[in-house]
Amino acid sequence: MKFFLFILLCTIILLLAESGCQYTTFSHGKETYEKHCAPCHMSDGKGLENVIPNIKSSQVLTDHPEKLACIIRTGIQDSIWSGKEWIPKEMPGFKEKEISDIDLTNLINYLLESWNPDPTYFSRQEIQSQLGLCH
Amino acid sequence: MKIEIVFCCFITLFLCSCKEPPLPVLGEIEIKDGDTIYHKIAHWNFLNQDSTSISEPSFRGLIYIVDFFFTSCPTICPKVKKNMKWLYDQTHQYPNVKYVSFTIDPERDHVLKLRQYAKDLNVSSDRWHFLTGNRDSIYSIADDYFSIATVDKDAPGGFDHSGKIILVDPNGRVRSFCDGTDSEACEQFLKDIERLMKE
Repeated sequence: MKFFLFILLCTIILLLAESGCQYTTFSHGKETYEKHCAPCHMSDGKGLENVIPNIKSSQVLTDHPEKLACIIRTGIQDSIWSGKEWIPKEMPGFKEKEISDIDLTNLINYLLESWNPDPTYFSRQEIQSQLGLCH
Repeated sequence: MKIEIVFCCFITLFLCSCKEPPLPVLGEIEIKDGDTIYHKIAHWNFLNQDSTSISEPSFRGLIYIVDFFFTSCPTICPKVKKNMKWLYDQTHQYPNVKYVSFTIDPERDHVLKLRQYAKDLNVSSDRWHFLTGNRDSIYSIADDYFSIATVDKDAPGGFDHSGKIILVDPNGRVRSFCDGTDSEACEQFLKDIERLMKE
């Protein structure tokens, strides 16, 4: 009987430990993504037609992931010619008080994990170095 | 044989009784001189993305679907627009179903910007009007559609507004609405559109 109780206790502890481990750097990055990015780019990263870009097929994500930190921090100020005037096409930047460096690191690693078929992850130090090169 | 005929009549009566009731007319109802007067949308006139003047009475005899948005909205608008676009695609075979999006930021959302937005959304001005004009008039119209549009410096993007998608019948009466950020609610809303078409 005691042996049975011991096994039961061990099983409960293992199950609890496993559920605790589910909170990974990626789930933290997902939380940041859902809060700041998903309202426009959608939870599935597909964006909205040609209004809001599809992150999943973004070349930056696959070919230049080192540029993501500056894009998210400083935003994109672009415009397109309508035939009569320039129409702004912008993405707002997120300052450190909105997305801290560690949140930014987790967010970028989540983006890479989700939508880069051959991801290389960044440390906080690497992200901070990349931020130092932003224009 | 008689039993079979009675059975068939019974089934027919049962199927007839299953016909869905009409959608309710939303808003205040007034009884005047014995007549029932329903809430109706006030007349409006605004410019669409082709710089064409569009007025509310031009929708008489048509079903139309409404939302309020602004192109630089950083919160709920993209999700609402995604669901509106889904409804637009689902109803492409119904020429009498139109779409109307009022900008609540008409100072920045001028005709050219709305034209670009419609182009980027891959929609046609034959079926979907993006309207701009006097801000106060647009905000007043939002009340008529039981929606909300106000300037709020503290709100993200500078405006407070509802994500409702509203269904208006051929007589200019509001018949249904849904939360435009909720995909499942929009699926139910599509059924309301189809129900209204059968009336």
